[in-house]
Amino acid sequence: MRSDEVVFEIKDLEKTYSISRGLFKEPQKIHAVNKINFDVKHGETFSIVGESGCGKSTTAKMLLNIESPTSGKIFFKGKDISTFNAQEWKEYRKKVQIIFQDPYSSLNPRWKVGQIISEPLELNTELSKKEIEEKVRAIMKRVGLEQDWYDRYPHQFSGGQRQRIGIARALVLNPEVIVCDEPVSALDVSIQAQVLNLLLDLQEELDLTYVFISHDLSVVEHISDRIMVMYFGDVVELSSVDELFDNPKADYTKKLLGAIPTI
Amino acid sequence: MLLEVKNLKTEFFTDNGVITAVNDIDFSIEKGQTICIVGESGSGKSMTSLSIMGLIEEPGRVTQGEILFEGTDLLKYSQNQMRNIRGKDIAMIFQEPMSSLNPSYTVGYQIDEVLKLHQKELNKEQRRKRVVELFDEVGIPFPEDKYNEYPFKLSGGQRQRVMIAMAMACQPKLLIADEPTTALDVTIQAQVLDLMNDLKKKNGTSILFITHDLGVVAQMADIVVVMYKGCVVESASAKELFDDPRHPYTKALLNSIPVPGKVKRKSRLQTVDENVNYHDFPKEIR
Repeated sequence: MRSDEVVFEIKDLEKTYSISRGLFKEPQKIHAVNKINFDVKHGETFSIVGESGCGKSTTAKMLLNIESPTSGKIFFKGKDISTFNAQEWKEYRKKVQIIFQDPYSSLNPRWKVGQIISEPLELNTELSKKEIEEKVRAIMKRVGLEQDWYDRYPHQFSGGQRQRIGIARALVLNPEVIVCDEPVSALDVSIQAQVLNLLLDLQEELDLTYVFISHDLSVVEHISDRIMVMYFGDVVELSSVDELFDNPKADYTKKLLGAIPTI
Repeated sequence: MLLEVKNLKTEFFTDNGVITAVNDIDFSIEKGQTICIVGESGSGKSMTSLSIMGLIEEPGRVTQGEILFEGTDLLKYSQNQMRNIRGKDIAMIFQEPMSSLNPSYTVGYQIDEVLKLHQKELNKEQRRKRVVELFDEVGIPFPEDKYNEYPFKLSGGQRQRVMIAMAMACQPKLLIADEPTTALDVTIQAQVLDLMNDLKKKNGTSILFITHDLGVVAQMADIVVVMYKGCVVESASAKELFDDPRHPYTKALLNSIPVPGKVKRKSRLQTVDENVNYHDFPKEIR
């Protein structure tokens, strides 16, 4: 259920990369994310849209602490994540999970499905082997993977099935927030529909919060509660899905909406 | 009629048996028309275009049918004759502009190569002038300077423009575009689609457009051909197909995409049922 509890609060978040231009020149600074502010509420789907290079993936990476911000703060349930101690980090990594874009390159080809999904449990919990297997099989069933696929390798699956494996792996630690980085853009339309349906079902059932990153505005329109539009590292608009599609304010948003080929 | 494909069948002879990639399909393209082939991965849409270009590689082979280009069967042509047609009368644009351009030659040189091959009457100076002209036509900024740039220096949209310039260099009668905008951002995609439509109007080029994006189809197509597992299940004018899809597979495909304003937000989308064999339904060709 959606509530007003704030899960993430982002303040003046900034990320710059410097590119060397040679020995005697000042390195060039690239602002990937330019002092942005937003918050994510419990149970909502918060989407970040924009074109390649707008900083949407960089923002997601900073939420997951894969990249560390140049400046600015990320508060998770009121606590600044840069002040976390080891125990708090461990908890945080369980609570915040990611689903990647490409289900081909994000799964280890040498591991069996059961192993891929159990790894987070082995690393983060004290469960016995048997308990882990039970949990993995239960989650496989929930996302629509058959039981005898436990011992198969990723290459034996189609794109949609692989994405289900990725989802199962993200879910197995009972997270609260899932960052979905373009989870359906590598999939065929009919498979895309299946995965979107699954994500919607899981959100209702497990009370999940999604940070959904996409460049596909039709998909974003379908599943989001609020949408943030980014352009070259800046937030150009942040509004509810109704507001954004019925009454876009920023020129860039209008341009983006106008560019979707419609049926 | 510019191109007529009749009973085309393309098969792959692998160690594990024969795989039929394209199974007895028919369609035709008139001069100045845009035909879109839509379908999901593995439906045979790219194999259809490669069959027309004569680019099916071992262990694959076109095993049946005719590909009539202005009345003559391309399948009867030798490799040499095909080479004279490819790039000149029929040109092709691919999905990934980075991997279809040679990274170690300048983009100007790569287009010059096409002219060298197919327009032998032009001398070096004229060819250079023509390349710059083409760059200008497809909307590449500073066309003079871009002649000497290498592909890695250009953005995705610009690379695709270079590919289009290369394809249009000899003013082909048929342009085959295999998912030309899939790798591009939406605003760039809109520009590239506009460009293709402009060039079509100006030169009367026919376009065979291959895509899985139904939004793009709605914007580009005169005629839509829907492929499913190697077969054509439905073909109709774009308007008919979107207003009144008749084949169950087409209906399922159209219902599986969220359309802003038409599909209720957060409602569960319909999916293509994997347990249904859509070949069991009669084909709908209008």
